[in-house]
Amino acid sequence: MPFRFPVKFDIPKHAYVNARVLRDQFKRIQYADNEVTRNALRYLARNTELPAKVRLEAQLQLTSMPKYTSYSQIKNRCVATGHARSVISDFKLNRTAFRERARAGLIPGVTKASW
Amino acid sequence: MLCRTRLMIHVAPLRSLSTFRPLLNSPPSQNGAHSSPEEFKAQAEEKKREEDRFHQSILQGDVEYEPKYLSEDKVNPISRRPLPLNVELLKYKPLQVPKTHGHQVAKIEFKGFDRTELLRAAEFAARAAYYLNIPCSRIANLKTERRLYTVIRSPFAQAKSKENFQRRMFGLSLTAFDATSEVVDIWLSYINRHAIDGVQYNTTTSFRESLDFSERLDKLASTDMKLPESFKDIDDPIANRIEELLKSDTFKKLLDETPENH
Repeated sequence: MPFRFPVKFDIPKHAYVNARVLRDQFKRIQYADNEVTRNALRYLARNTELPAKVRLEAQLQLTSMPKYTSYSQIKNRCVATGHARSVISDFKLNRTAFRERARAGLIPGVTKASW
Repeated sequence: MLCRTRLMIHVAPLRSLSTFRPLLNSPPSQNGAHSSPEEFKAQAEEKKREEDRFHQSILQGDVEYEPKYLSEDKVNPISRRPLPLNVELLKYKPLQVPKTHGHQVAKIEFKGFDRTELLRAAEFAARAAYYLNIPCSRIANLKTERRLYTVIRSPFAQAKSKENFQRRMFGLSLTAFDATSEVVDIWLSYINRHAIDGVQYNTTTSFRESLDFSERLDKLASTDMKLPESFKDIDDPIANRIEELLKSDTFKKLLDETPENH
């Protein structure tokens, strides 16, 4: 079976893995790899001191980069279940995964609250 | 007879001396229970009389100062040596060196979910400061940070039924005064070496500059802050990439087409 992503990368070991988690992991790695180039091109495109043609060229290069190198493509996912919805960012856990662990006392400092 | 609790000779008032209750063997005295109002009245009168006697004795000046070393006679069965004084002192709140000028040099903030661990970390730092002769403040409480999490009870639907959780972040702070920066560095590195898991340590160190600081800064700026030379040896990956891009063929051609700008 061929590798379905354009660039090879390591499968994450710290989290639950499914196809969507893998896709997100790939985007995260690609964003990290291309972050410097993207920011450099963004600087060139937005610098008003530079000639318009240079700025346009930089903007064109930026938009011609693959979508998976963009930060906006990254979505936080639950480390335990891979869910993308209702992820509590303090714990990187989905609400149900968080609730189970919190009730079992597995998350440091978290207790039931009542007021 | 003098009031023994007041003299702190045999019955130590636990709360004021030690922060760790279980370390002192004797339980706290129980004065709460009374079977009748008469008994309470009698007890109150007796207490008042004792207080008066104590007051009088202090005014007459017949209080003898005899500090007691609680584990004086205790011997460590393995080393067959008496308990050292600094170990004995662990039963009490940390000692303080008096301030000389009151100039703050460092402030450590301890944060964590567990109060006991937090106190252990803070007292360790305070004791280390005492033995390094650094004047320190008392251990102060920081505001407790409470984060609330409300989640839906059910994994699917029934979103009206929620469950509340909270995470409490306790904090303590310790301020050091007057010490030289070398001693403060030694102190901080020692604390760092024996840092406790689950406690977050944050330190702010302050230094004092001489009055001609602004002049020295101006002098530095006149040589150091010349644009664009001051950016020459900068080690910023983005800046390096920008330079690389501008020197590439596509951008060079475009830059050469508009010579009035560059």
